[in-house]
Amino acid sequence: MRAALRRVVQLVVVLLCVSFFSFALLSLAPGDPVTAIVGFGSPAQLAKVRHQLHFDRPFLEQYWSWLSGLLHGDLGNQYFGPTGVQKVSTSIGQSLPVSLQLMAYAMILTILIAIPLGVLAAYRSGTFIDKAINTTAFGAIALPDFALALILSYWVGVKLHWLPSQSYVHPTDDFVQHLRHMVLPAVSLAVGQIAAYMRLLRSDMIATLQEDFILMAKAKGITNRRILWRHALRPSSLTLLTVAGLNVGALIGGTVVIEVIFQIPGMGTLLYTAIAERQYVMLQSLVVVIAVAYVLVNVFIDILYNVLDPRLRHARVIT
Amino acid sequence: MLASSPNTIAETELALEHPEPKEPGSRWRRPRRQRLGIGAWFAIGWLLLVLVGATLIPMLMHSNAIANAEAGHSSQGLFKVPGHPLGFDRNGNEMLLLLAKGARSSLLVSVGAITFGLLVGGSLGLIAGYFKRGVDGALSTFFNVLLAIPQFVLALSLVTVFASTAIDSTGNQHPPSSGRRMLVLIFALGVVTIPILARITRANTLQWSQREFVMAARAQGATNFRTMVREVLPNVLPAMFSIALLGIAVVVVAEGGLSILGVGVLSPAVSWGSMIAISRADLQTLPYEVLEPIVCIFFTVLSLNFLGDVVRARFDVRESAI
Amino acid sequence: MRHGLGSRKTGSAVVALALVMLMVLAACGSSGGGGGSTSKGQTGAKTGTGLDNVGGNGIIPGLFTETTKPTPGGDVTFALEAESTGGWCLPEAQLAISGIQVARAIYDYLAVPDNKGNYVPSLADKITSSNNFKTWTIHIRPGIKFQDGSPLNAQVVADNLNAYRGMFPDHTVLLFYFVFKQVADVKVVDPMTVQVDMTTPWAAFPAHLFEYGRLGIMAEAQLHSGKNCFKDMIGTGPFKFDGDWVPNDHLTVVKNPNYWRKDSFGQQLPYLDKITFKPVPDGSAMLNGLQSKTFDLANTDDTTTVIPGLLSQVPNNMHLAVSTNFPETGYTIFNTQKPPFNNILARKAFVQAFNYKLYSQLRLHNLNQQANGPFGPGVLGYLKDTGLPTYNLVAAKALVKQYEQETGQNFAFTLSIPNDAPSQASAQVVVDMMKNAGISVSTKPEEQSQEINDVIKGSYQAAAWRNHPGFDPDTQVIWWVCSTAVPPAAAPPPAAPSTNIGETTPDGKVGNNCDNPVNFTRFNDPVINKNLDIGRTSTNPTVRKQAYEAVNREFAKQVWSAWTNWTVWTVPSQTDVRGILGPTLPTATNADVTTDGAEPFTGLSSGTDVSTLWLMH
Repeated sequence: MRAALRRVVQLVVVLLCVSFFSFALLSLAPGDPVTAIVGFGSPAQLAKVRHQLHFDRPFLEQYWSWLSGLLHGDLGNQYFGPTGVQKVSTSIGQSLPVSLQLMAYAMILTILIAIPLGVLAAYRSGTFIDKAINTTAFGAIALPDFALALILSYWVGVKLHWLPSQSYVHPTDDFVQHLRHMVLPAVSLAVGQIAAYMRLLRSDMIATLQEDFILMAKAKGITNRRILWRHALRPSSLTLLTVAGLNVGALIGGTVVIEVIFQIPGMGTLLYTAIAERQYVMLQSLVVVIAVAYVLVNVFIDILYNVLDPRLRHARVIT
Repeated sequence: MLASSPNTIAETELALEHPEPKEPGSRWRRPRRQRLGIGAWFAIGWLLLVLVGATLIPMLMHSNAIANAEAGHSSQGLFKVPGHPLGFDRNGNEMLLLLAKGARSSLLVSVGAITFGLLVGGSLGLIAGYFKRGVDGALSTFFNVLLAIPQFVLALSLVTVFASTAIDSTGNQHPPSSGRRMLVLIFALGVVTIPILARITRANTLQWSQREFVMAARAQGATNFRTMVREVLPNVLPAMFSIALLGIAVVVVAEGGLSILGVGVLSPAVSWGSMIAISRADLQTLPYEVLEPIVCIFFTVLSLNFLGDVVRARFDVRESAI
Repeated sequence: MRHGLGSRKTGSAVVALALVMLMVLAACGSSGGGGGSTSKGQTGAKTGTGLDNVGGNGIIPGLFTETTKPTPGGDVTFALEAESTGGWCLPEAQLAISGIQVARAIYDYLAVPDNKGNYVPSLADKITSSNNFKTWTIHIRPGIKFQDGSPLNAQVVADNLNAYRGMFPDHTVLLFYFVFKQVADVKVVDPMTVQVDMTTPWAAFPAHLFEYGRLGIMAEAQLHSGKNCFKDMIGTGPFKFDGDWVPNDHLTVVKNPNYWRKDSFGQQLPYLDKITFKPVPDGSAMLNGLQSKTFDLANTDDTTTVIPGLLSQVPNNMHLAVSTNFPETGYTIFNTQKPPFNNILARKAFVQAFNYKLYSQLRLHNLNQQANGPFGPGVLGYLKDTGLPTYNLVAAKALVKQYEQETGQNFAFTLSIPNDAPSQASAQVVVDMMKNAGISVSTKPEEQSQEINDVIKGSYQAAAWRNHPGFDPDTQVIWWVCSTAVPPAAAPPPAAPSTNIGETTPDGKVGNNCDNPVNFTRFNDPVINKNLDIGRTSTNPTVRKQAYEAVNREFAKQVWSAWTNWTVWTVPSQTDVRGILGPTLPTATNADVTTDGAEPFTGLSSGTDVSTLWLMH
């Protein structure tokens, strides 16, 4: 109980620090934020916007009002010219599900392909199949996901016309088209991940397969297949889970570029737009939302890890 | 890109290895008597080629894009113009020269970033692992905060804030100079690597500072600083070197990603990433413009990953994620 | 070693992988090659570019009023080259063509141009003026309703015109204030008649009731919607906006069932149920989308990436409506109030160092004609030879030396450009060309609205620019004129006087001191001022032609701007899309589409009328 409370306190501290850091960082941006946001207008209009956005107040006061707004769900506004305004929370509400779908598909592909391949390579360790899989994986890691995205979008999308090479269809509008549009982006993201996870699982399982309890299981007459999937995989999956937490961050980074290449209206494109249009208020909110989501995902994975590994359930977690 | 962050994978991968006992007091372990395989030689060869090319080619090759274009060489791809096998881009620039200049920027940014990260992160990790307790707790919280923001998004924000606009003396906004952007890229990508490098250094330091020879040095009256630097650090270096190689590869790719989003190196500087970003519009008609830098990135990352693994194997390095 | 990666066997596998990669590169990379493109098709107007054999200007089937009976129904996706982040509060919005295309779906205009460049009443049914062109009377066509059901009448039209003038509360206009500066008063004479009084004669006033498609007539509700004016769009047009706008992603408009026009078969316009506009600033994305049939049609002038990529598929797999007449002009705009371009030697040197033929070959696939002035083929004032200096590297180098000797400064400047990758690559060619002449150029890539801001404020030396769509030259006056007759209320302080070194005109030294803040080039040329005034106040076509030709020649003589090329606006479309150019225009007595009506304007630089788009099955 005390451990859990400590973790919660730590979590809150981290979140506060992250929010302050994002806010402070973007406040350091040079130039008058108002002209960056509003473009050009009369000095009276600019002064009005400056007052609305609290840019005329001291720094800590700005941070406090921003933070309390954030906690109430007010993520600021996106500005279009001197009068056009749209709530950032609306934009995020539209884009976040799209990005989550893309990442989910990439993760599903990763799990579906990396685990069987890893198990196969570990089982057939040292043979030609293992060498082939391992080398291909090694090569796949070296190919950046945006490079693969460009190659796929050209060859598969334009030359062969097999799959659409850009834009997005909402799943409720046409589920088949939705999936077709997501294939190339998800594959571009997944390939590097598959390779990495596969190699990890393979090396982990090779170690596990040399343990005594496996020998014992074989002596008891359990089939190889059952040994692989039920006995050996379980401890190895914990390693995957640990890495998964760290890799979600990398997945998020990859998604930003992939979305821009495939013109998918997710958080990545929103981020790109905010940067290009110098919408610093929006950028602040986006960074915080992404960071908070990422922290929460890691917390979830931590909990999952504790649940799955009986050795840890009763031990103190050392950080 | 960072999607298959070898650093994080490497961390965990090697946590699984069972270390063999080492002789106390040794600064360098005796390297295994194992000749480097053909893969390692290929990797070393490629990296040397890139280094030499990046240094010499821009110095020695003088190629005027307009003159090339007027001679009809523009948009001529692979093996189309005798004597120029890599071809010319759409504006008449010689691809070989662009790739060499690109190598300069890409390597400068990546090596610079990792060096910065190692200096800061390595020192912090060393301190955290050596002194433990309070210092360690504070530093670890700092690392956790930095790690809480996804790496790429953090780098993107840092570059946007510090190098998207500059204000000149008359109060006008304009984009920063190419040099400034390069510095900020090194800084931003370096900052992003600090927590990971720190944690690895910390883990290794934790392990090494328990050893008898460290305690012996302290018993002999050596100061903490001296002990850290003379006893612990040399044993931690091989791990850091291996991770540095892997890290350089990651940063090269990250710079590519930043270029596609428009915050990579600025003209007149060229990087492999910016070559891809600029030529991506012509992918259909002039695919070699995009493929050549992709191949360079691919082989560079491949070689660095391979060598990183070789270094690890050679020095039987152990790194723990915990 | 458990991994086995340090071993020789895996090492050689890696080498094998490397060899495979190299072979793949050689195979992929060797496709594609030199520029240039050929296309088969009918002959059109000869421009000397690769578009000569592509159908356009009426040659593509279904471009004008239909002879086959169109089938109603269907949706289309229309790709545009940019988002209009400022929204559509028309008096304040600085709309570019993408925004204008959306506006044309939702709004209508008091007058629209026909294929001869005359302005035909549209929402009005009669537009007349007094003999001295100081009083204009606009009679509103009866029976038209806005999309919210409110009626179109003189009051709402007067409110619109006042809003555009900046005389309506809660709307701060910039551009239109100066356009309509000489409007003294707008008043409602009777429920369907508006009278506009001018301070000085304005013969070409009807052209400004269209103003490149910017002067849409909004409903009272939108005029009064305050902060939401930019997205609460309500017009009389064929499509209405139901609120579905995700900025930078899409904007949807749906059929207006009560549109005031029917086609020649008696069918209610528009035919389509829905149009989805998608902003696609990335050229390769637009090309991909058209090739993969994601987009049904698009609006583009991109001869760097999009149009060349489509040419091989025209006309069998893709249609391309091309307009090389009435083009817009692409050029490098100089700030003639600041060094180095306050000196004519510098301006001449730039123009003579610019090898257009090479630039066009490398960046434009030879698809754009070189411009010699702001008036392109078909526009009043166009001249085959204006006297603009031509490419001459030797002369350019000499001018550079002369400039540096006379001023004691190095010839160096910053060129502002849009920050997309193809523009940066194009600018690199310009930088290299200038370097060959001894001019040092650094580029400043900026987001488009930022670039526009800088030019407006005057904080630039030279910028890549595009303006002067091919409508009546009187609509260009606002960009060039300087006068001393300024209404007291909003006059900005006059710029400090300065003179240009070098040329003088017969009237004496040419100087600045321009009171017009929308004259971004910031020159004050008495020859141009005089002739623009003649063009504005005369209705004699010969007199006007001569006046604008004089303007054209003066531009070339003083090299106020470095004219680069004439844009080629196109509408690429899938082969099942018809009715692209729009219907014949309404007549004074008949709102519907008839053969009596004038044919629509064939210039595409302000988008097209989308009311007659239909899908052939």
